[in-house]
Amino acid sequence: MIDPNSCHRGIFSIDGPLPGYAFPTTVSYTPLGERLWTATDGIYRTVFAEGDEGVVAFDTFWSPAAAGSYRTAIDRLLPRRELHTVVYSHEHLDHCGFAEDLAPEASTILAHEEAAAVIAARGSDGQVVPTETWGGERKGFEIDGVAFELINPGATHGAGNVAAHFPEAGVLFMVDTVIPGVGYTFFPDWHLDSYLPNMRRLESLEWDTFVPGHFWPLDRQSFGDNLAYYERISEAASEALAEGVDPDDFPAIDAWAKERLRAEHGRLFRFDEYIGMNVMRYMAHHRTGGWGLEDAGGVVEGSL
Amino acid sequence: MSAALEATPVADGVWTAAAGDYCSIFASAGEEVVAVNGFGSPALAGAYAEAIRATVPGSRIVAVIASIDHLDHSAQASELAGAGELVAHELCARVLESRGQRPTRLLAEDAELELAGHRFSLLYRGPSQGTGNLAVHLPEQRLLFLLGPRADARYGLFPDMHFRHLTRVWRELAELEVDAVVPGRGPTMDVDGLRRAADYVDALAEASQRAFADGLPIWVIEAMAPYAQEALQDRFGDLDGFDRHVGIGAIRLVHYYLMGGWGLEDTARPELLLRD
Repeated sequence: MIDPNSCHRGIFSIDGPLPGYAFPTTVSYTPLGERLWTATDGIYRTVFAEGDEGVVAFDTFWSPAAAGSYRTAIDRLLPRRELHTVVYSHEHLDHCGFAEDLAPEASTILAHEEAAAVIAARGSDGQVVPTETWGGERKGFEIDGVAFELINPGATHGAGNVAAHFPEAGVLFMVDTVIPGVGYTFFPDWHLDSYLPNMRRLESLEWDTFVPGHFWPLDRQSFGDNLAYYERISEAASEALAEGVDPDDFPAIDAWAKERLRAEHGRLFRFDEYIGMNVMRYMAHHRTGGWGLEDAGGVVEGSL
Repeated sequence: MSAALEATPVADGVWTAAAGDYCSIFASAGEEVVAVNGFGSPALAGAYAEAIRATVPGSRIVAVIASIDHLDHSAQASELAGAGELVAHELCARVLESRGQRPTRLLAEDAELELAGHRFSLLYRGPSQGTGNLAVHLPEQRLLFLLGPRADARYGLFPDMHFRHLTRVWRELAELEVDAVVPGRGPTMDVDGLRRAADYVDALAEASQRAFADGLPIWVIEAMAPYAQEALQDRFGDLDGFDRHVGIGAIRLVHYYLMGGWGLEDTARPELLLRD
């Protein structure tokens, strides 16, 4: 068991125990290919691969305890294997913040240079600074017999957020972009100006199964439907602004969104939880013109 | 239809210009005028120019200071500046230029400028809200204009706020010798009001962390709103908009801690943004 008083704390600044970081989750795993697996605790999801000698794990889960549960799951499936490589999908702590708990022995921590810059400057407790970085848009890797390509389609969510393509398994893994159902809360750190065009670049790749960072895998149709949802919410936010809904007043936006969008999208997973927040974020985006340099000319033209 | 915009004197040779909740300032000596931002629509920018002309007859805008990149404040800054200067922080300028605006004077650090007979101190103390957000200080008038802090609790989603540095920046600026702090939105306040704005955000940050530590489902508004209300009611329940805004604010803030912040702005080294 992890001690909530002494566990890694990310960037939490309050005193006292952090039981939320010490609560052990149950991580299960499912095969995606001959040596490729997906692991989930029911909410977070990632992938890991069996190498010739050891294990290549993507991401770390969301807390010190969850990272430990992820490691337990890997060790159960692939006992006595060295977890020598951790690949970060992006830089956020809730997916990549706890390599010290997952694999303190890992000799290689791999990330895109844009993610690595944030990680190094952040200095979060428990997050390991990448030992190896790469730049640009695409790069193929073969690590311990595990072949994959990392792809940065441009600004989507977070910094240096990359997709991992496993052509042999027909799998594309990418975190906090397409997620089943409506969007997560208020689209935290989504770069909405460029999100859709950059994500659609991934549709040109050969894959059958999209493994998201949360909940369950999707097929190509569901991937496209999910992106179309963003288009609709962007339009709905414009409608709300035109109708004079206060873009800062969440209760008013939530009521407007549920009344206006329930018939169209009410059956989507987590509609009631997040539809108001989804619309609110797009309203703020339209009003302010985007958040940060990522939203200023972040659309990448051309195919991958 | 013309937009309504009200100009009100706030210090010697300086006026506030308000359109609903939004606010800016302009300063004049003789016929020369320096305006801040320019509001978010052509209609409001036109009303702003009209209000300036009505307040300072025969005036000419010699410079516009774009204090932030957000469209709802500075979408029309370039048009308002016309043949005059458009001043912006270098980071803000990158965003403005991506939208076709044309800043003419770029600042990478604090700067003292003499414009239209007034001394302006343009201060960048790190990421607070938006990109390259400048505080506009008129030391002789003991006045500060700043986008981000509010005299009330109507922050909504805290759009584009960078919590790693936000309240430190506000507290540093509250040490300036000023009598009035004009925020970009909401009522004018004083430095004690600015400190209280920082206190509110800090208290909300602590409450949102406690909610996570206490095992709340931090993504659920029905859980976070009552938790944050109870935690902050005694100290901040008097702030206008508190009940309707505190819950979504708590959800926004707890994700800062859960995710680690958003980009280099939320790290210890935001100056890396200035690299090419």
